[in-house]
Amino acid sequence: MKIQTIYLTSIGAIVVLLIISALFAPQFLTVEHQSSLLKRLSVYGLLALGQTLVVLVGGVDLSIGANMLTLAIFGGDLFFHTGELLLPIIIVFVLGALIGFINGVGVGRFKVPPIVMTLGMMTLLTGFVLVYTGGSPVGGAPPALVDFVFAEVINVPVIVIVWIVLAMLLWFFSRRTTLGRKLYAVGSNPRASYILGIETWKIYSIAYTLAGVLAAIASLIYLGRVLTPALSVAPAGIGTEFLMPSLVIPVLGGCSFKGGEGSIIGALIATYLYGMLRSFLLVMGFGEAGVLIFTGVILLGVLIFQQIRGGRLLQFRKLFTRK
Amino acid sequence: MSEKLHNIKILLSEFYVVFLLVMAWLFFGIFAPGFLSFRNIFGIITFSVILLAASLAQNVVVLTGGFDLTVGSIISLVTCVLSVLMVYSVIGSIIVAILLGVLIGFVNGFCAARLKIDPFLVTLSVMFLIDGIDLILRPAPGGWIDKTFANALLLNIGGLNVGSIIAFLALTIFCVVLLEKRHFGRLIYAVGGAEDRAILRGINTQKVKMLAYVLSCLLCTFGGLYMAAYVQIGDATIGSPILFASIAAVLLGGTSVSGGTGRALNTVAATLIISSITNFLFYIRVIEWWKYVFNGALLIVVASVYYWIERRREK
Repeated sequence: MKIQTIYLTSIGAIVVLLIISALFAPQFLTVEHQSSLLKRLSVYGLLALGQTLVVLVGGVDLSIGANMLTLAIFGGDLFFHTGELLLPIIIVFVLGALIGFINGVGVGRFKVPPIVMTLGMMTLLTGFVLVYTGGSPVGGAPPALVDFVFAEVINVPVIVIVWIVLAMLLWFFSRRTTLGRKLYAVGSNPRASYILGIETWKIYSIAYTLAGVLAAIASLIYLGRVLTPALSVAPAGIGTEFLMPSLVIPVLGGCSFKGGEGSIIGALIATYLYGMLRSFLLVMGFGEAGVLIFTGVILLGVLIFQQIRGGRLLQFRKLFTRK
Repeated sequence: MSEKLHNIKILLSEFYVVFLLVMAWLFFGIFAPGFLSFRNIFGIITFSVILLAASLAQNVVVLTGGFDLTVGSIISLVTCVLSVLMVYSVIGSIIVAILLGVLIGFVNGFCAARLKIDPFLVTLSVMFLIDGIDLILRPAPGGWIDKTFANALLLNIGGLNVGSIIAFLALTIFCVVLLEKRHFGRLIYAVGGAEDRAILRGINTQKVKMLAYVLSCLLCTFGGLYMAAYVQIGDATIGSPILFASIAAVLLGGTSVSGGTGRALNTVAATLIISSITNFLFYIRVIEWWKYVFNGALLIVVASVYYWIERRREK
């Protein structure tokens, strides 16, 4: 019931956006524009799916953007030097899973708070990439990967299909399998799940490993799109430009960062909503600053709205009076 | 005698980060002769005053069980506001910056404490908001910062920024005294440690949390003034690295993210450790980028050991 309301809200917001853009910027509704928007979104969408899984178990993965960019850069270099196709792809997948698994073990086994663990991982990956590349762009995508990324089936980009299919698989996994339901169980109450006999650290590891694998897939797509990934050396750490949307999207999709609440479908819809909103604002000439302000306002609005529905804001006046 | 030993043991476990800092300095001193010179240590302390302000701000909020992702953006905001408004009035621009800091702290505190929204998400959204405003104020780095204002803050005497040292000591003493000796500080620990019990005790927990966020933003504004004095321009992105560094410093300092435990002095030591690593790598002429590897590894290892021991103690 609750989740359906959030679907409806997001879909409603999308419809409103579509109507507004039809009035102000009709070029928005062309097949070409939508297809290129979805293509750009698929990287963010995959990362958001990974983040959603982690948020479901009550964690957060700050290293997901750095993970993706590290794999894209390292993978590109491997492609370039070995000249092979399959081997680097396997290595990228294994590394992605491994980074996720280490996060999961740290959070699950050593009980390091997720923010600490993944922040450390992000910094570590930033260091490795900078030392490895020396700060300059390296490597390149093989033609086969580029062809794959730019391929289209009747105007629908293949990578978008990959993204949607993966989302569907993950939705099935999280809703219809025992293991998937355990994600929700651990997220909503780790202690009770532990007492019920769920090995919670394994569930944490699975969620983080899946996030790592999704980052690996996203990295290959990203590599195919940009050919040679450049480092925007934000001194905080690499990949923050991918991290921020991946934190925003689950919230818009109805995830609670306390864990155990939210859904893959919600994240999928929210990704489109986020992408639509962002590109609409950019087209309307609000610039990057406008996008940031709108993102902040909408995020706050959604959060406050969620609290209203939680019944805490019903007596709004009480908030301003002393207890 | 055994009582003395016991006291030392307690001191070690309470302030292990300070000992970690001393050990790190000795280690660095052996490998890089000249590292322990007066001038270099002076430089490290001068260098870390902005990060210290942000870390102590973060520490106050984390102690209440919250999170403040706006620390970096506020520092950027202060430099932007000063660089835009200083042309008209120096004092006026500083007052505007401080008022903005209080306002942001109030918004953060209201949403996190009163509306009970996850502080991580509240401050994330506010961070986006401030970043956007920063970019509108200063699309590209530039502007003008009054020289006398900068000199008054830095107090450069014979190539040494005495003003920064005074600010460093003042920040340290202010936070240590506030958190350990004053009533408000004890309230912060009470709210962070066991909120339900604090409520039963009749503490207005929401007010304490709200004030913690306001205090955090004020400390960051102070850091921002120093940032403006250092770089002498307004820059919309200059604060973003400080956010992650401040979180790292607080966590390295052993403040628990669930709130209620952590000493301000440990945060100060952790800040100095982070600055020293950068300085040391510069000293031994290793590419500066290794500092990310060191910081990341240090954070993961220290946190793993810390929480592993804590879990053992609980059993």
